[in-house]
Amino acid sequence: MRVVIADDSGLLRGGLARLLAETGTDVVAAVGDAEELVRAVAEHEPDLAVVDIRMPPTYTHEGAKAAVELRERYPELGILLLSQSLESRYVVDLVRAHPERFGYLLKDRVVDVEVLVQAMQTIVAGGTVLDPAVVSHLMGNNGLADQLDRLSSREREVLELMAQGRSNAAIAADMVIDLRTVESHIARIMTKLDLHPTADEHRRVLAVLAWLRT
Amino acid sequence: MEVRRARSLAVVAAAVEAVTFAAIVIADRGLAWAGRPDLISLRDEVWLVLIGIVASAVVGFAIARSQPLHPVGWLFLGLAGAMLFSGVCEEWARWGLWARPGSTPFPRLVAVIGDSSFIPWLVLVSLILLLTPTGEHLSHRWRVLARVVVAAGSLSFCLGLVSARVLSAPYDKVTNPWVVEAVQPTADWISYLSLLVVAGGLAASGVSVLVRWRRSSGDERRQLLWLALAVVPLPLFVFAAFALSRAGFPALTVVATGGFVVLVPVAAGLSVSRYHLYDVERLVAATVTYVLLSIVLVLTYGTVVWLGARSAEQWSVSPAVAATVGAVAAAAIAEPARRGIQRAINRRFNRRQYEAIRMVRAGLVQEGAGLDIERLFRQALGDPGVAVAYAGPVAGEWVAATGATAPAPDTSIMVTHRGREVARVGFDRRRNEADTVSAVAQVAAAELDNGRLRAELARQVAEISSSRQRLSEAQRDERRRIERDLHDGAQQRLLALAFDLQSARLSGDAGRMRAALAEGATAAQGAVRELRDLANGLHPAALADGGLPAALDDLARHSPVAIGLDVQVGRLDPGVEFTAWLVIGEALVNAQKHAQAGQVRVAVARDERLLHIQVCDDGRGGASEDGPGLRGMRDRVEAAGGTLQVVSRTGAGTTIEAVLPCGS
Repeated sequence: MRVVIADDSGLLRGGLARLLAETGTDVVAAVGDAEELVRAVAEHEPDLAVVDIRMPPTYTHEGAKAAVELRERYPELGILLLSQSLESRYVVDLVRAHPERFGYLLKDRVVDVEVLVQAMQTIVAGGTVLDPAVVSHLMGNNGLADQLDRLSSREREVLELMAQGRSNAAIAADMVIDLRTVESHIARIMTKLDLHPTADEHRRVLAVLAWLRT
Repeated sequence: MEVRRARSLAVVAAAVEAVTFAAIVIADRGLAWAGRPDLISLRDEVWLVLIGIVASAVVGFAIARSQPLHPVGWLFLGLAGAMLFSGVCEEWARWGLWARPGSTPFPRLVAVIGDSSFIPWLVLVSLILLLTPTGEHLSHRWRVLARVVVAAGSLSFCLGLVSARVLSAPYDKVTNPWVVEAVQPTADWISYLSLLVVAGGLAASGVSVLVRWRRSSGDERRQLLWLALAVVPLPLFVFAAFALSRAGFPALTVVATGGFVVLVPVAAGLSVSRYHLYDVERLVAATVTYVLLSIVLVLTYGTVVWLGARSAEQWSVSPAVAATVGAVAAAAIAEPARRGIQRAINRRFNRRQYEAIRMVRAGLVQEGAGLDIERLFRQALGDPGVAVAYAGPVAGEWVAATGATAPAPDTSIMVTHRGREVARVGFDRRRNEADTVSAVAQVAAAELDNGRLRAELARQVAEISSSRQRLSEAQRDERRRIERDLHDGAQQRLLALAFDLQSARLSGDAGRMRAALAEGATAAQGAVRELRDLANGLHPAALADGGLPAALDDLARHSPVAIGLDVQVGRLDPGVEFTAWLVIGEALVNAQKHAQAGQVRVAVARDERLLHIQVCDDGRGGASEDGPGLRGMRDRVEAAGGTLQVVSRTGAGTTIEAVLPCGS
């Protein structure tokens, strides 16, 4: 997999590049701001861009904005946004607008190489990845507490993983349960929450997110 | 847009009338140079008509300029125009018929027109009386009267042009070139009857004014008083004018006609332009004052000189000495005499002040608690620009009722209460005299003193709320800075460390892992140090452990500037210690960053109740008290109930003195 990294901190950029190299990923470029990112993507046409949300000059959402622009120009480009602090609202809006080949993880999550590699693979395969912190933040919404009570704890676990963009197989592996059990859990969740069942994974994420945002 | 155009039109009309007036006067004087001084018309009683023209034009211009939509202004300009038209006809006919026969075309015809040209005067005066002061007819019936007068006037004027009657002197030998024999003498009679209708209408218009006056009250009644007085003798004027002209006394006719033509514009002008009645009273008062003053001075001078002349016979004093002594005596009493006379006259004539004081007194009694004293003054003084400002806590600082700093007015008077200045009243010099405003405001001095206290309270509340807002903004900025420091500093170091350890582990290479661990330990130490510095900046451990002496000692050790410490305090309330530490820290940062000081002296001492902090540097000074740094410092100190003083003259260093209450 060919990857471009964009992060304004040289320290982190280097660390992340080394880490990815160790996992056998081909880091074709590591850049420090949004403009360089656009140039690097044009030059290398990578499979995935790993982008820090905060970048110069204002250190707000430059990275994310550049990533959205890149997505419009290169629909096949996978995008993994990283941030140090939780940016749930902004990121959920982004995911709803661009659910395919899109992911968001906290940087400390990325230290876990397996999570990182799995997320990259999901994204490049066309899926969606959302940091569990975002999902649990949404689940913590007070208005939802009553409705979530209708779910069993198992079902809630499955819902969280669904919201993170996991496939049925990944959920089964993660929870160490049978794939069919996962499917029946999902069917029950969908009925209880009045969601339309769909095979398409990123559509499922959207439905769950929409429900969580209410 | 329309109003502006109407105003320019008024200027143009007045200018044309002024030029015409001048032309008539020149043409009239020209008769003398042409060798016919006997033909000069502007003499004897005609001056009254000239005054009438000037009065109408001036009043008309003034009203049309200030109230372009008011018909009376334009009617006055028309009246002046009609009178000027008569004058033009007069000069035209005299030159063409006698002074230089043939110098003007159609002189006979113009003489005929001129003979009837007084009719429009009467019609216009009638309309003016009907429409003053509102610009509207009193009722529909009066509107009909106006139409009848206009119709009768037009008919009389037109029939006069074809009538065979003998013109009034000196045109009694002139024959009318337009005479229509077929309609004689009926036309002449109808013309005369119409003229009687106009005269009757004019008298009735006067009645309209009286009816208005009778129905009016308050301000409007005062407005109409002058006009009502002027129209009372109107029927007499009309009757006299007709009787005299029939009896062949042209001079007296002019006096009778001109009399009310002069009176009406003045009275109507006063009526329409409302409050300016007072100005007339003021003018009258000033005139009387100066006339009396002149008499007193002349008498004094005369008496002294006369006494001097008498004594000259006995002691041979020269007349020059007597004159000098007289002049000196007159000069010496001039100012006190003026003041005395003015005061006496004002007491009698200064109705405005009297009325205003009465209004303020009534307002004070009536309104009680919710009193808007500024509005009351504005009403009483007839000046919408009256601005009341109250004495602030610092001498020379004035605040509005809202507590905001009040801008300095062009002209103002001070109000004192119990020996201290409590308020300043700004006013428009063109509308009131300082004495009047002073006298009126003094009536409300006690209320103004209350207003001062309220304004001071409002000012303090405003100051507190803005200081609170600044503090919360400063706090927000501080939090943002800390977030950024954490994000860019320790958090990033630790993340990078995690990445590096992880990649070393993944590589499986023992040497690389050892190196990564060693680097990792160093990086972790760095991160810890960074976190410690950050925490120390938030609230130094030294302050918690050893109080101000320890914290300031730390501060001095790590400062790049030489700091002389003189700290004579032990432990204090933690809140006070923290505020003191922040203020001193901020002052030290300012001294090295902005003032480029080489040496700073910090002194801290306390007495029973107060902690005194002084920070002096030898930097370049000139610090702005309104800058965010010093303002933030002041806000902190004031929030803790203390005071802050900054002396920072350019080139002479900066001294900051803070006093904080420190309890027992």
